Amino acid sequence: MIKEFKDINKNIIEEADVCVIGTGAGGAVAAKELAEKGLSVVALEEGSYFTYKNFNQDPGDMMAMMYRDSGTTVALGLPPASITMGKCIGGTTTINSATCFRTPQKVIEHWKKEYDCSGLEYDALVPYFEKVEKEISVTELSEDVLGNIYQIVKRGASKLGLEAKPLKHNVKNCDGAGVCQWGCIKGAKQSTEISYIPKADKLGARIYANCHVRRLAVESGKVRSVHGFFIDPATGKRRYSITVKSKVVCLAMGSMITPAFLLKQRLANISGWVGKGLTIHPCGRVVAEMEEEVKGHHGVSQGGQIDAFEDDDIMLEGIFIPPGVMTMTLPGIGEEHKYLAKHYNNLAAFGVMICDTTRGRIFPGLLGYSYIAWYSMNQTDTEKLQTGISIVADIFFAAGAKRVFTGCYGMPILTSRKDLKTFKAMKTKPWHYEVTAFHPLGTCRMGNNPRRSVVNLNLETHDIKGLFITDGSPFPTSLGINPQVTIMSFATRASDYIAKNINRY
Amino acid sequence: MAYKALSNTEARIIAAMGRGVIPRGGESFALGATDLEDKWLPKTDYMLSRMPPLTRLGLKLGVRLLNYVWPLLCLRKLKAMTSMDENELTEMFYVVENSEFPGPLSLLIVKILVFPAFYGLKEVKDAIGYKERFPNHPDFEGLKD
Repeated sequence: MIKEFKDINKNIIEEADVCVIGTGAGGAVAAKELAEKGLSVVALEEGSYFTYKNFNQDPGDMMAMMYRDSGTTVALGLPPASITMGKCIGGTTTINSATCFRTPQKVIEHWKKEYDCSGLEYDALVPYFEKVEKEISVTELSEDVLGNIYQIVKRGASKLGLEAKPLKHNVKNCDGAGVCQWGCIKGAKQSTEISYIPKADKLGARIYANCHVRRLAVESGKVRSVHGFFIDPATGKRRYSITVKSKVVCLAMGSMITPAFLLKQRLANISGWVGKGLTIHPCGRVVAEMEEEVKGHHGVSQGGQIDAFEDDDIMLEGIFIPPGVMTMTLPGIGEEHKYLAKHYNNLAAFGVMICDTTRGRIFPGLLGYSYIAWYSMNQTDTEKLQTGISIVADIFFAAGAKRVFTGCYGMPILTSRKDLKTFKAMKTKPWHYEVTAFHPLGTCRMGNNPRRSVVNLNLETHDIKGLFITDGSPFPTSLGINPQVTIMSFATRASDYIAKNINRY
Repeated sequence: MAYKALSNTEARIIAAMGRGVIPRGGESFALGATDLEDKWLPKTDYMLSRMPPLTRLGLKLGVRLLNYVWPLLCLRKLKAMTSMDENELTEMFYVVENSEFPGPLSLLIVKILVFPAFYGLKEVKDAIGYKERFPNHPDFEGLKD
C-alpha cells in the first residue's frame, strides 16, 4: 500500500536495506528491482499519488496538480528555459510522452573515450535495455494511433527525400487519447506508477508519498539514515517526521534536485562536479496551419521521428498539445489569436530537439525552491535549433502548409518557401527563441576518476559508501534521445550491483 | 468572489489581460474572456495556489506593476489596464507583441495566466470545435491535492 499524508498520524521510523528517494524513472526501478532481489526497501516520494481517476485532460488543472511548481520550473539564463517535471508517484514518467529509445551506442563510446568511462560496455547494457523494455511494454504502435500529424510529416518528408519513422512507446492497449503529458486517462501508458511501483509494493517495498527528504546522515564516510517529514499537500504544511535507517541510499530525485540536495548537504562533492555539466536537450516547436483537418490530438502526442540529422545533433520528433498550451506558443493577439484558436483542428506540430553542447549549472535551492538552475544556450546550439526549425518548416511546406509558426521571435510566421529562405539566412540569437526542455541530465557525472566525476560506473558516489545516484544526473553528456529507458536501464544495473554487494555495507 | 491566491485587485488585472488578448466578438468565435471570467479566473487562482510562494509573489507583483507600466510604455497613457476597454487593451498587447522592448517574451506572463484556464472551459472548447478523443475515465473522481 502506498501511504500518503492522509494515512500518517504519527512520526515514522523505518529500517531497511535500501532507502530510495524519488519514484520516477530511476527511483521506482531501483525500488522494484531491489525488492525483487529480496532486499527490504523504503521508497520516499515528495509528490502525491494520482491515478487515471484524477486525470481530466485539462492541461491547466493537470499542471497545477502534478507538475512541479505548477509547470513553472525554469532554468534561468538568456533565454530562460522551461523544464517541466512531474511531482507525483511516477515522477516525470507520469507526464512524459511515453517515447522510448535505447542509449545510442555512439554515446556510450563517446563517454568511454572522452569522459573516463572505460569499462562501460554497450553489449553489457543490452540485457538491461531488454529487461526494461519488457517491464514497461515498449511497443511500436499502429499508424492510426500515431495520428494524422505523423502522416502529414511522412508525406512532406518523403517529398524531400527524408524518412519519417514511428516512435516506440511504453504503452499497453493505447487508443491514442492524445493526452500523454497530462496523465493517461486510459491507464495505457506504462509509467512507473503503473509498471514498477505496484510491483515494488507487492514485493514488500514500503512506499511513502508526500514525503520531503531534508537530510542524509553520514558517518565515517558511510550513509546511515535519511530524515524527512510529511507535507500536507493541501496546505503545504509539515507534519510528522520520518527517519529511515538504511545501509544504502539511492538518490533519484532527478538531475535538477539531486545535485541541489547534495550541495545543500555538502556531500559527495570532493570532485567539485556536483551541479555542473547540466544538459537539457533544448527544444523548439514548429506549428503549421494546414488546409486539411488534422485533429492532431487524435493520436499519441509524439507519433513519429526523423533521425536523418542525428549526426548533426538534431532530432526531429512529433509533439502535440491541447489548445490551452498550444495557443501559448503561437503569436497573435485579439482576432488574430482567435482565428488560430478556431483553426486548432487544422494545426499540426512537430518538435526539434538539440543534443546540446551548452552546459548549465545547478545551485542549492533557496526560499522554497528545490534548486536554482542556470542554463544559457550558446550560439552553436542556437544555430542547430534554427537549422532544425528550418527543416521542419520545409517538411510542412512540402506537405502543403499554408503558414508555419517557427517559435522564433525574429521571424515568427513563415507564409512561403521564400520566407523560409529568409529565415534560414537570418542571424538569430539564443534569446530569439522560446526554449522548452524536458530532459535535464549530467549534473553528477559518472567516471572512473574521483577527481573528475561524482559517481563511479556502478553509480555509487566516490566519496560516500552506500550512496548511489540512480536518476539522469550521472550521464556525462546529452543522449540526443528521450532518456527514460537509459535511466531505467542504468538504475536496473546499479540495483544488480547493490543486491550483489549488500553485505559490504 | 473569494480567491485562494489572488486578491480582488490582482483578479481584476488578470481579467483585464484576458479581455485584451481574447476580446469579445469577431469572425472566429463570439466568446470573449470577459464572458467567462467567473469560470476561468478560479482556475488561474488554483494554478497560482500550487506554485512556490516566491513564484506566486513574483507573478502577483509583476501583474500589479504591468497594470501601469504597459499602458505607459506602449500607449503613452497614464492609465491602469483595469480601466481600459477591450479595444485599447488589444491595441496595447499588439504593441507589446510587436515591440523590441518589452517584446513578445513578456507576453508569456499573460498567456500563462489566461490561456490554459480559458481554453480548459467546456464552452470555449465547444466554440473552437475542440473535443477530446475520449471522455474522462468512467471512474473519474476529480482533482486531488
